Amino acid sequence: MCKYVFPIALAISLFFISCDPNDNTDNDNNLDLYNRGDILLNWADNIIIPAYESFYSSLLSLNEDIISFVEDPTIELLETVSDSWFNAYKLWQHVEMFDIGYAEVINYKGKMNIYPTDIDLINQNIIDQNYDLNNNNNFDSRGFPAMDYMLHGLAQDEVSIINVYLSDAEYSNYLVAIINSMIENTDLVVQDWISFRSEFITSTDNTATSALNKMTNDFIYYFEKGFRANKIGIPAGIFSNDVIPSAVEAFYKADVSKVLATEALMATKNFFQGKHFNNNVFSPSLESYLDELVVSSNNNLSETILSQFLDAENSLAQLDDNFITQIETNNMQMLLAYDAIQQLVVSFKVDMLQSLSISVDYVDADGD
Amino acid sequence: MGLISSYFNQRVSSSPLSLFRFCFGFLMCFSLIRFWNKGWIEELYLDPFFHFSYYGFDWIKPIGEYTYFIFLICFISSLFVCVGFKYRFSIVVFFFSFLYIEMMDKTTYLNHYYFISVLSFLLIFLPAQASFSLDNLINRKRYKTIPKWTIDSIKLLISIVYIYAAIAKINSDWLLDAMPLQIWISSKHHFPFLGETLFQKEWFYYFMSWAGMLYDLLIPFLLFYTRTRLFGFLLVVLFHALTKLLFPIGMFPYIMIISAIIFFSPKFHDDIISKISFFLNRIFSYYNVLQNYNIKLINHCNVRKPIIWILCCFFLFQFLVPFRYVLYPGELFWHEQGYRFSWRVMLVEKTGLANFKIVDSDNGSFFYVNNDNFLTSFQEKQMSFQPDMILEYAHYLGDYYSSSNDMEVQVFVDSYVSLNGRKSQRFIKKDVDLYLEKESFRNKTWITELSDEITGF
Repeated sequence: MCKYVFPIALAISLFFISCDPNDNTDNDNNLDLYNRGDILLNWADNIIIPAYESFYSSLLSLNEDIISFVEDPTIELLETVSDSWFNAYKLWQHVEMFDIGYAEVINYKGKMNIYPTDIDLINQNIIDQNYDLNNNNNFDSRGFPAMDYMLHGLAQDEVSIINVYLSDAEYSNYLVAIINSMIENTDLVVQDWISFRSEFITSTDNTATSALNKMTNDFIYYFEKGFRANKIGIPAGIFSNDVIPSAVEAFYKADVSKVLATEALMATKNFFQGKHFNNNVFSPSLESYLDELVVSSNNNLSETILSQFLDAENSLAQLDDNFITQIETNNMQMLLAYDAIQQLVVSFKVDMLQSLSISVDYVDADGD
Repeated sequence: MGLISSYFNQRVSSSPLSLFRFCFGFLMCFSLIRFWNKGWIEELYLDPFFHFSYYGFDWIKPIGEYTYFIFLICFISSLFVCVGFKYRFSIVVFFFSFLYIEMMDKTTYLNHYYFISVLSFLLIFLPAQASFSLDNLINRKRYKTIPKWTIDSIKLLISIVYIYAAIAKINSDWLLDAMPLQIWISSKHHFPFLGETLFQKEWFYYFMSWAGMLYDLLIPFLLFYTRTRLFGFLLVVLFHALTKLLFPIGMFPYIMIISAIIFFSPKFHDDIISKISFFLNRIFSYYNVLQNYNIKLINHCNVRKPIIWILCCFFLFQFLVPFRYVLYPGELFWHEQGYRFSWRVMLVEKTGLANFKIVDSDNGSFFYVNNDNFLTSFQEKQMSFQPDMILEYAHYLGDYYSSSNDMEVQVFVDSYVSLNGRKSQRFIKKDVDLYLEKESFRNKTWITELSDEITGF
């Protein structure tokens, strides 16, 4: 009898090895019970791509306004550019979290929105007239924060700023270089989504590299770092001995920091709920997915998360339009807002990831 | 009494133990190469600048680039164990080098590493070089039989692993809620054929939970009796192949499958060894290596009596250690006091988040630590739900900030953990200054209580 043991054991092993999931590249999902494919489709077609398109066109109109401005720097045109910059910055809040595909390859968010910006480096670049904004040495002298400085921080008031542009054409050149690099990189990402889309919407596996897991992780990462830490935590001194008002987003424009943060919170909520970018329709997303999973539906997790969003929105609404003022007068309010947002981080990183059984880090190591 | 002494005088063919030694050494060689090849030595032991130690063993740390040297020693000794070269010395070296590796950082604790440590300790005392070894050639001695209890001791250890793993599964989460298998299996939706069908059926989670528990409980008995052995072994293969496919479980399935072979009859092992020997002899005689080489066949290899007493203590320890958790109040799965070294294999799903708050005790000003600055993501993940690691890290942070900022600091942690699909709840009491708490075997009162009850073992 024993002599059959090993052939049979071998056959069983071979059977299992032959259907090793890692070898399987077929992603046809007709039986998709939880509509993971629908989630990705919704994210791509109704949220990510429309948001990028809308953002891209806002950059193009910003570009037009900048061209008019540098030809004829007037206060009126400066204000027009500033308005377009603000408009594009708000739309940017809807795409920063999509650090996937080509955006990840080129470190797109690092090219667009690293703040605080380094004004010494900017001024040095302007003097040297020799800079490549795509070079990572310039990570904090480009994108929205650099433009914020160029439009609102070069001098005390608008008249003096105009004078800077009138006195030295290199300032205009730098402004143009910033918008050009932003458009160039955005163009690369937007173009890539045309081909990346099909790969994205079919990658429904629960693996480290699948679009579903990566996007979920990106979303949480953005919420924790890009939103919670960068916009609120760091300026409010959560991670340092003292408050750092200079670290707020749009430091030179200053009075828009709350609007940008509110916009970003809304963008994350829309993504969680699967709300289409262009209209009020809701399609499958993390919320509906959590409602279908046994564990998270028993816990009413999505309900908890939505009420935490409400708390976060309310606590943001309590803040001054200008976070610098808020931090310097009553930082306690900032800390309360941070705490409200932190509750969402707990729900996302602990409860949601456990329900989805998605690993937060994908360490390549054995378990037992 | 006569019964016992006659048991300890029973003799059996040395082949099962020798083949076991060969397979064990081979698997260890392979595991170490795999570990090295995956770049884990660097990733797990060289890259992090903080390492989590076992209580009382904080002097065991990676030693920079020389850490590779420890792995090399471990590899060479496992190779020597495999071929039976200077066996006793090699297995001792293997045991200590492997133990050192495992104790360098608690983050990487796995039950199967513990199993290897314990097994290699046991092997130190067993005459596993009695046959089918290079030592036979060197000493020109080969032993036909060894005491039966030496082989039984390995069977006993394997049985302990299975049965304690079964006992650990007898709890309300595992059996009544099919947790955490429910979470794990349902998330494998991309598994071929089964992922979207069977793996999404509720009854299947319950079936697998109960089957897993009964499997662990019954496997030693199935392997023990001749009539059920083949069936038992097929179950072993099937089960471990399944876990291998579903979970990132590394070498563990292979080790358990190969270990189970020792339950087969001495005759079965004699046949295998004689076949391999026949093959080897053909090669050697072809090269005229073993011409005129006489190996004396000795009837029986005796094992000194004190060793029996040592192993009795060893097994008593193995029986008791998994139950040490009863000395701690509260829910074991939550506080994990007495969780390790107890064959609780793939038993719970825990997710955590721990943010550390450093407070200047002079003026009460505070800030939160960015864990990325000190820990790898793997360390952070493991630390976030294990209280002893949270405490050790809190002390590290306290030392770091009190010396770098030259101030008296307090360390608090804002931490949440979700256990087996429960809603997350606060894990460590938030107003406890962890910098004042000392590691010990005493109950850690600063861990919150799980707001739910899990009944069972």
